Amino acid sequence: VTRDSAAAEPAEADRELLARYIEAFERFDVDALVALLHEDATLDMPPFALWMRGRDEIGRWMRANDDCSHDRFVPVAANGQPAVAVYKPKTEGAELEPFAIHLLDTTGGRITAIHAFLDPSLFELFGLEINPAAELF
Amino acid sequence: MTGSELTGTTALVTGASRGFGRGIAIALHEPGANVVAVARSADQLDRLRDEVGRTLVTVTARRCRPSSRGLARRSVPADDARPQRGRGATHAAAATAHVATFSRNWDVDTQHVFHWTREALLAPLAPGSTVIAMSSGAALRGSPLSGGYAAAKAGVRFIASYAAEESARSRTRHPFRFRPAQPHARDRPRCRGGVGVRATQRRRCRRVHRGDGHHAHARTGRQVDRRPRGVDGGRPRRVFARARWSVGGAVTAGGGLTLAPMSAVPASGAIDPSNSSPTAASSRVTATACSGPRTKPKTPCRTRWCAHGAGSQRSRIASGCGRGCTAIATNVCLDMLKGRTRRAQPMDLVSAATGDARLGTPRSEATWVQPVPDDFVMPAGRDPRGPRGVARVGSARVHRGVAALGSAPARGLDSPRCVALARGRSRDAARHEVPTRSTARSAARGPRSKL
Repeated sequence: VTRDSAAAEPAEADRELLARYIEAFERFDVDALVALLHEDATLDMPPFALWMRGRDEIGRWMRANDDCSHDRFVPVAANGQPAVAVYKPKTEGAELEPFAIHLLDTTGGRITAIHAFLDPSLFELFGLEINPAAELF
Repeated sequence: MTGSELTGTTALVTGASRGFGRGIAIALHEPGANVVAVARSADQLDRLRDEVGRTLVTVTARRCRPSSRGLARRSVPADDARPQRGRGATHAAAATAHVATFSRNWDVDTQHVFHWTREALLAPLAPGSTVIAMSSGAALRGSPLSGGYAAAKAGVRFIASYAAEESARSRTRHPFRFRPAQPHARDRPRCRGGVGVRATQRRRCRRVHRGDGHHAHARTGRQVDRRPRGVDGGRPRRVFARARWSVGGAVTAGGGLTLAPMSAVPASGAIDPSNSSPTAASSRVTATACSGPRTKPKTPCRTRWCAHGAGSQRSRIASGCGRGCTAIATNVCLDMLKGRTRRAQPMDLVSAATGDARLGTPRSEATWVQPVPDDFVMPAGRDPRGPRGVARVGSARVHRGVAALGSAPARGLDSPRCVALARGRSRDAARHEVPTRSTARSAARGPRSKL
């Protein structure tokens, strides 16, 4: 799905953290996700101004707003940090479509910030497939 | 300003593979500036790096095609696009000119400056940065045989001066400056104790094909039938372009813009337009700055030129540089971190919400700092990661929080599309700044979060 050059090559620790992040998201295990976060981690979601701070608030937000259990994730290389592109089915069982690109700030093996760009048009910039076939995942 | 003052500063030079841009990149790199050279030709950038050393950071700009959304930053790399170089003037008498060649410089040069200028106003440039847009003497005097070129370069001047006015009006939002500049026919540093970099571009010949089987003098348009030496395919061949230091350092740009910390940039941006002749056998860029209390501008021309680019700085410069230039350089270093028209992160704009808040409505693309693919901004095969989010390439440091600078012409696939802004400065650079209340405040606050 990604171009070769856009394939993520994070350092070992970040790569592992990103893998755990993706794994937790795929199971949509909010507890496991929250466990990866620094206590004061932030979550922001441009182009929306809303953001929140703290592991607990982020956990509340995720439980209240998202069902990511059907999402699919593709690591990308962005800003020199661990990052992942998220595809989401429009409705359950429907085809996947671009949804967001998450960039993670990390410190000491914890995620200190999730920058979730809820902007499908970024996928073009990153050379990502706009209409991914389900079998790619 | 001396060369050593450039040590640790970062300058971004677009169009750096050829011509003035190349000369400027070399001239800044030699005395120690961290130069990020942006151009579309990877080969030429490699050659440049081979020439000046591995510490030069090169970024191959993308040619992109505007996406359906039509927004610059959303542009798509157009790998199939034909490489197209920045344009020199195409010479033709009016009767034989064609609108396609007449408008070509507009599609390349002017759009390039337009997109960079827009992004420089929106993106988080470091306080104290200066943006210099390179124009041409043809913009001042016209050019009968390359009217489209002259018009496009005049457009560059206007764009830069509009941006200068805007940034002067709202310094708190845009604590960096814009300057148009153009080649100078003569090499005259304007003030003692000042500094200048001269990018010298020589043309072997000032006669050009006129498009109707004859040759003409490039500036006057007068017919000259003897085939001149050095003319290659109807365009004046640029024999070489180089830059060198005179007494210090300064920044100008080739093809487009240079973004550099103020400490690396002359306060006055230079140039006496009345003496410029774009087709002189040797045309030069001379950027001068006054750096000491004893210096004064020698000519009213320079004063006028300063006034043109510098908006409200007019009176200070016109009344004699004195310490004015240094003071200006310092005073514009205002806190821009909360600027409303700069790209921002959500935490710059609103306070934190709780987990049960509602998402609300999205804001426009221009509001936000955006992510950028690593391979747009880092040389292939290099590790974009480094301590504290700073990439280290050779001795140069580029913040890994790079903001994508997109650009995408409506028509051409020609100009550099996606380039990077080096954010922040190294500590070396920071040492050369005179701290103001606001810079001290922002320093105390620590570095802005990365993204």
